[in-house]
Amino acid sequence: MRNRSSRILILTAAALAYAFLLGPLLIVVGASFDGGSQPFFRFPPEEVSLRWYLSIPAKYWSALGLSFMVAAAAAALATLLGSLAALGIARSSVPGKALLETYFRFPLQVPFVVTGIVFLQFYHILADASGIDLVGTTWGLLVAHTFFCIPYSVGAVGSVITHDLEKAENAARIAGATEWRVLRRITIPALKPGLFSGFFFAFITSFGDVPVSVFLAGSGTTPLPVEIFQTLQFDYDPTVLSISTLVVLISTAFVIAMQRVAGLDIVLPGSRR
Amino acid sequence: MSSLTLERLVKRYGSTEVVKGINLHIEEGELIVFLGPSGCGKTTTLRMIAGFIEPTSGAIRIGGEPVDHKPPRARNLGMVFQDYALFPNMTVADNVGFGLVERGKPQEVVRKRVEEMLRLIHMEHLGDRYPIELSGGQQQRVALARALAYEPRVLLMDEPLGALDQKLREEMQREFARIQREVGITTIFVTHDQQEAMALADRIIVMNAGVIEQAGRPEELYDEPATLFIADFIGRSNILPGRVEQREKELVKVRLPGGEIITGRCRSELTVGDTAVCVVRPEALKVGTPRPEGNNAISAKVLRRSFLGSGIDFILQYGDNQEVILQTSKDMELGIREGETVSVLFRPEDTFCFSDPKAGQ
Amino acid sequence: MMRVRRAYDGALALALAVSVLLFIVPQFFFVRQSFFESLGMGMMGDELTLANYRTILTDSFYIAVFLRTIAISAVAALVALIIAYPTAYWLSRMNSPALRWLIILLLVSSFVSIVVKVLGLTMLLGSQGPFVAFLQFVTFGLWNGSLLHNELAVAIGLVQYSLPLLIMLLFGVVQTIPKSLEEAASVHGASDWRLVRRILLPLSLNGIVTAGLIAFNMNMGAFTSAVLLGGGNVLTVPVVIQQKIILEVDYPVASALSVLLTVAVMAINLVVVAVRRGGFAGARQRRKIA
Repeated sequence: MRNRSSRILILTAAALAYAFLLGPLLIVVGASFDGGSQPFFRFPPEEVSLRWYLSIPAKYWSALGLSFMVAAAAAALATLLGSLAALGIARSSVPGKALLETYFRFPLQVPFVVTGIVFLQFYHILADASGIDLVGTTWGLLVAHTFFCIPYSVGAVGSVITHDLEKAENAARIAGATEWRVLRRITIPALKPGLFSGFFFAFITSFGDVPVSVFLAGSGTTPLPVEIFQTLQFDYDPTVLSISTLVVLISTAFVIAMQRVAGLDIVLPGSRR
Repeated sequence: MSSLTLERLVKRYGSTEVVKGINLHIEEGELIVFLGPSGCGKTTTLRMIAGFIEPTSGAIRIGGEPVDHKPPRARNLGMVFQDYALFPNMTVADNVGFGLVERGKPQEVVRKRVEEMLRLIHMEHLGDRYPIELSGGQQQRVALARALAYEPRVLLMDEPLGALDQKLREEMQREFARIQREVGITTIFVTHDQQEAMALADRIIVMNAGVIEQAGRPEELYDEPATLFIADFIGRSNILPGRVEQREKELVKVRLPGGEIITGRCRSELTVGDTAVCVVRPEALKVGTPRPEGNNAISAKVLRRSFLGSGIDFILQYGDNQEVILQTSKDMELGIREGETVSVLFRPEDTFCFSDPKAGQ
Repeated sequence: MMRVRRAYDGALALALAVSVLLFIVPQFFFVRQSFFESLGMGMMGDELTLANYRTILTDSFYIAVFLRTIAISAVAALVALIIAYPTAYWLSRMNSPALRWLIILLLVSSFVSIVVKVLGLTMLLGSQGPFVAFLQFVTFGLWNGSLLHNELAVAIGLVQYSLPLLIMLLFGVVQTIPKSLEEAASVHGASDWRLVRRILLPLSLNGIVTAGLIAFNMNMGAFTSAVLLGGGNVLTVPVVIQQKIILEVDYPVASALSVLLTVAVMAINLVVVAVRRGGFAGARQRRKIA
């Protein structure tokens, strides 16, 4: 765009977008340091204090821990299953690859709230049939989270399985490497960006999930977003600001880690300048 | 069409000066080629003329009128891009008529003019095709037609033939030259291919590291290179390093490492004792018996013969491991056999001496 | 080579087996559930019936819920598109290394859980927030409405939800349009507006529609924003589904609603895609005649 007014228009839209996206986060972070009884992000700040950090209730900490565990486990499982699926789809002799790809994308086509009650109900049926009650358990959360994490891995790993990879593997085979060595020294390293970015996206989705977890949580087994959700719905407490700020920090750390390990190109092809 | 003037044009990015003060005047109807290696500033200069890059300082005038603060669309220029940049969502006809439509010409006028242009590029029946259905050469011609349709003042071409294979490239060069003559439009053509430059240009502007090294007709640049860079960049050249023994106005005597002394022309600063390089074109070398008539002569051994189709190359070695290439036409190879030691002769008028850029290293 | 092929076949088979357990089995039971009559109080009838669907499709309450959900989702998707496209264009044409940080910010925004964003929005739009203060200022204290717990708040939440992903999707779309096309248009006389109208938008249109549909689909299923920002006043399909389970333990109707939600989303997607394709075919026909 050459024109001055076009440039202004575009910059305004972009500024609006970023202000809109970052505004709520900044408010939360800012307000978490406001020591007044009705914390808000005021400028200049009324009373800077860490009181909301120091009085974070135990339930938030255990919820944070649980969210971490479930997210890590679900993302790991999903990465394992997803990469098997991606490799299988790309390399097996089965026809209908497009269909299979669509199939593995299925969990993300279902609204999360529906997924929540699907699994809730499924666990009830399972409990009736076998006595194993997964409702309100960590395992119950884990299984449901793995469900919607798989598509991330299938997509991410699928996108790094290229022709060049196969050529490199064949070169290694001709040079005498066993299948196991080919897998270990050529395939898996090449898949790393896909494995990592799939893992990251799965982790972050699971870590931040509300709609699925809200149906499957139980007392003592409540992930952090659900705790925050319930706080906002029923019994507002300013400590929610500080724990939410921690969430923002953790998410930021994750993005930076992902960018270091897998690069931004995986997320946004062509963004490398 | 119009003339084009560049006055002290400079472009600086941060602390790097990419274009270091270009002064140039182009007459109406001239076909000028900006020639140079990548990074020399030719494309930057072109884009400043087009208006995509703002000059750091200096002036650009088209037809005498300054265009510095005008956006590209107000400069009335035509441009052909390296990737053709045809609009994929429009037909050939719509592409060609684009500029006319944007200038508010009525439908009938647009239609007629588009037909004319399609005839000019010999693509009368392809108006309804989409760019994706065309070959590279066809896309190229459509891009040209689009640029010329609304009769701009100056035509800019940014390495347009780079993506074509050799044969197609030469064919397009001829096509383009024909069209340019027919239309008579002032044209600036950017390329790094010196053969292309020589084939097309009325005048070649050779650029190197942001400055114009030499500007002139192809013959001038070929026969009278002003710098070592030009001598080496344009055409083929043999480079003979040595040390200056004597200087008398335009003539210098240079002692080669093997002891021979050759005489050449020098138009730059060279004094006795300087290291120098002498440049002789392969076709200026002959084989024969040295005569005391002032011709340069060096003794060399024939290493290889290379058949070129239109002529023959002989690669000879003189001094300690220095190679020269001698080019001759097909029927002149009598007497030159591989392994033989012969006398290579060349005239001082064909020998250009410059100071050695590697001196002092 | 055969052994390798077989290994990959095995990998696929394993993944498929596990996925059937995770994907198909629970869904099967769930959908089946919708065909049992709901007797209230968590009890269900024994026979397969379409009663639930009939109830939903003939009850004006449910129809209103669906229409409301569709309307809010569509408007929010549209607004998000309008904001996202210029932003994506700006990012895509940017040459400076600042781009990396801007994308990181975008990713951070999309990674943070929606609850945190809703918390922030609640504070921003709430009675202590700057917007209410501004509205009171310009109406000289006469305005005493609320920016929360209504459809507007939910729509704003939905835009928050889908905007980061939209920007990233549209970034990819603009990337496919070479800058030289814009330059060619400029040099040949097009103003910026004409450039957008004749080149940028037509070439981006497919990507814009796809992205818009993705945003729409996300919005249709959005739960957290609707519940928290709607405050119980805004009944969208996900909210009603939750209420049916939590408050009434009514699985059959909840599953019927879920099935209908999914069907509605798929149907709308198909219609939009068909209209687009129809547009193309029509245009090509016209050209053939001319």
